[in-house]
Amino acid sequence: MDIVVDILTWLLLISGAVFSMIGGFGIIRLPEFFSRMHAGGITDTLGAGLIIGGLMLQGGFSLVTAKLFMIIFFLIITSPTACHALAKSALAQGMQPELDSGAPMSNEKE
Amino acid sequence: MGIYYALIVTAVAILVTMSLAMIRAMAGPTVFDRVLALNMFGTKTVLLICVVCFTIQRTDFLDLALLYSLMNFIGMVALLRFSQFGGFADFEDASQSKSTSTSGGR
Amino acid sequence: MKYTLVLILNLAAAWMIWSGSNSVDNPFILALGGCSLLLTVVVCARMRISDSESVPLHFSWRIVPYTFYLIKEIIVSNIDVAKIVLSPKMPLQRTMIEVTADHDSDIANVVLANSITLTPGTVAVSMDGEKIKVHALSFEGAAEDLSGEMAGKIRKLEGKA
Repeated sequence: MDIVVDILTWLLLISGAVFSMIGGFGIIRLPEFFSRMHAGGITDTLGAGLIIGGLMLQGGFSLVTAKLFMIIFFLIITSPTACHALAKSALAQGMQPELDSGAPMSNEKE
Repeated sequence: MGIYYALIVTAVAILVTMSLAMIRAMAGPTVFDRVLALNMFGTKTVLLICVVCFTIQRTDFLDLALLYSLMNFIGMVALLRFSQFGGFADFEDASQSKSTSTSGGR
Repeated sequence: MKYTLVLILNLAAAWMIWSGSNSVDNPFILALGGCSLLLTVVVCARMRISDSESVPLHFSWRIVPYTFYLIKEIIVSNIDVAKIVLSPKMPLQRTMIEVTADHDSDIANVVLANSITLTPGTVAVSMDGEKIKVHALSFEGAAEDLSGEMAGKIRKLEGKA
């Protein structure tokens, strides 16, 4: 039983580490600010989620797991709020995103 | 086999991500890139504290991780408010003359 | 009234989680927790902020299937964005779209905007009235948001459909 939990922890931790490194490379490689925001999103959601999930498996059914759950809960709530605040104030200060498509699309029909 | 080495590998990966974010925070070019990189740095700090807690078997340090996650959020919102009303002179320079931006580490 | 009750339960649970065995062993620390709980509830009552917006009770159990749906969406779109970042040419298809958010309550609109931002590849940039402006990294991600699948799920979360 222990060995199964350990193997699952290995998988979750390593994939979380890989995803957060991908986010780190994204923040360096992507060309302009509004695309870099998306790279920050990778590390905040799946990177953090997988690593904390792996640690939760090690914690078992205890207070430690409850604390880890609270940490990931706060991260999930605050990360999009911070991202939105950043994008909004960038737009308010006159930064224009570079777009690859022409006119903005919208779903007016319904 | 324990999970000790998995924790070490994860901690190193998080440190690599933090240094990549730090590079972006120094390179800029706009103030928002720096704030974004700092936000990512803060999130990684929370994860690093969690992983190190398990590495040294002292799980009471998890309280610090929660404190850091809340402080990171509040600090970023405060910084954005300041940049909207106080105004960073840096932003004007960087957006208009990208080629001549030599002020890296501000 | 029921909102205040749920608030008290949440605060008590938070105190017990973070103080742990200290509270169980030491009545003084438990008393400190009780005092701060009481203070928080009084302040919330004076500010009149314990209502259906801060404690969305009407979502009830329907929050559970929505959470699983959101986790699935996050994983799928994470892999998409990771592919874009890792591919040598970086096939960026940046676009700006407008998504309609016409739910009854403000909290449902906020849940929609936050879910859009939480799935990587799309970020809600600004919101005025019933329109959410979304910056997307690829046309596929944009089309997924435009299809209104997530808005439908949130209508279900509200208990309307």
